[in-house]
Amino acid sequence: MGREESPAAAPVTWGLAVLFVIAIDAGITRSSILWGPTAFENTRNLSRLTFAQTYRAARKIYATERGGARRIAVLGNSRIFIPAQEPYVERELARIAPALDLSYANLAVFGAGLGDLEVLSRHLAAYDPALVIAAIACDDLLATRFNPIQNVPSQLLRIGWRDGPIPPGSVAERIDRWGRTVWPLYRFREFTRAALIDRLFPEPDAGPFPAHFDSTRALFDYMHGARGGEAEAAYQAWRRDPTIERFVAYLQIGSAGHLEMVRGRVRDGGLLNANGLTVRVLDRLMTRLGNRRWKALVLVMPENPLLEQDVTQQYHRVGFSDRAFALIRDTALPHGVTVVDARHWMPREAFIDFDHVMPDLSGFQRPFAEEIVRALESQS
Amino acid sequence: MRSNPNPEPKKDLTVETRRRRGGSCVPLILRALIYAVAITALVIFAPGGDHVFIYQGF
Repeated sequence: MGREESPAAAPVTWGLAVLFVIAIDAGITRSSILWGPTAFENTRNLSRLTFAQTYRAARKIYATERGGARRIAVLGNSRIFIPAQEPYVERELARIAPALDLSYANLAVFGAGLGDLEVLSRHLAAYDPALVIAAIACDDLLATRFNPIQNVPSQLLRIGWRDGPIPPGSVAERIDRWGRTVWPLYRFREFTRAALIDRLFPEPDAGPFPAHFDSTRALFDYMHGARGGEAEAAYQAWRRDPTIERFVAYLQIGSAGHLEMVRGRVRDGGLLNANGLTVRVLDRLMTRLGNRRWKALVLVMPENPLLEQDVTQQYHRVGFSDRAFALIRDTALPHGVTVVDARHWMPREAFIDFDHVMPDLSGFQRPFAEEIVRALESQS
Repeated sequence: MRSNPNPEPKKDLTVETRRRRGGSCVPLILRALIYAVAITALVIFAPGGDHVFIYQGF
């Protein structure tokens, strides 16, 4: 006599359960449960910042309502995150090209390395852009522990059946990537968890990145809180006596981590290698961007002219920028990706530190928007 | 051989089987739904996946 099949193990029960999982998955990953406004996405906590920014990038890709007819996507790290915020660039685009029907998304994440840009580019088809801009700094070709080649976005958003240019560290990691490829809820599980916790136990909302800054004092107050006045005084002292020593003294107020990172990057950076990992990752990124589904350009990010005073080479290496730029250009052009050299766009007064131009106040958004319009016009 | 004057009514085997398996279709659907919710909760709240990176760029 055959054994009665337990109802708990009956195939029909599990088949139905799978159908329910698919329905629940769609109910979460295509709704405001996952993508609705949260407080955590605006966190100022540095340990949660990259997670929050990766979440926002994913939302822009997967949950953006149809805006302008032509979409522009920007990939990069803090160097482009800060000065190319949506409000600044959209204002400028509306001013110089009011007739163009555009939708602009800054998908940059603090600390993103070239490996992160490559992983994020795997999602671009879902956004369906007309123009993709990869904002790359020459220093991004140096992968050190101070600026790793891949970071939080690669962990959270890795998808794809085949290994990327940076092989997975373990079999479990590869299986995890397959899971994220095939199953949206699994792909966004960390974001879903954070969103649900946020709704159940909301934390104070710090609000979005400011849409406008009136002055450097307002910027320093935003960045340094109670030490804003002190930073402003040191910054103005540097403006009166614009030496690199004064600039370093200003950075020591609230930006000591930045100084340590820049020094470490220069110290540990090693030599540029045309066959090195970073260039191979860059090549894979360019291969994907140059696929002709969209117009693509690489913006080689502005560099602080003050570095010319760095004769002891603590904060940069003489000749590195030109060698790195040549490598970026030689990697991008064969794939049909335009290269824009923005290294000399900004004066030293436009920089908050050695790497970053100021948001809004620097005026970076003006040449940037002009470059966007030029790229779109060359496409049509 | 005499036939039983009060034969026991024949059991509807389909109904009987269904009863043994958990009754009507409703418990089956409920069971599947519980499984689905449990799987979803497990995926979302399973330990791990806390990706923390302390940004030092500023």
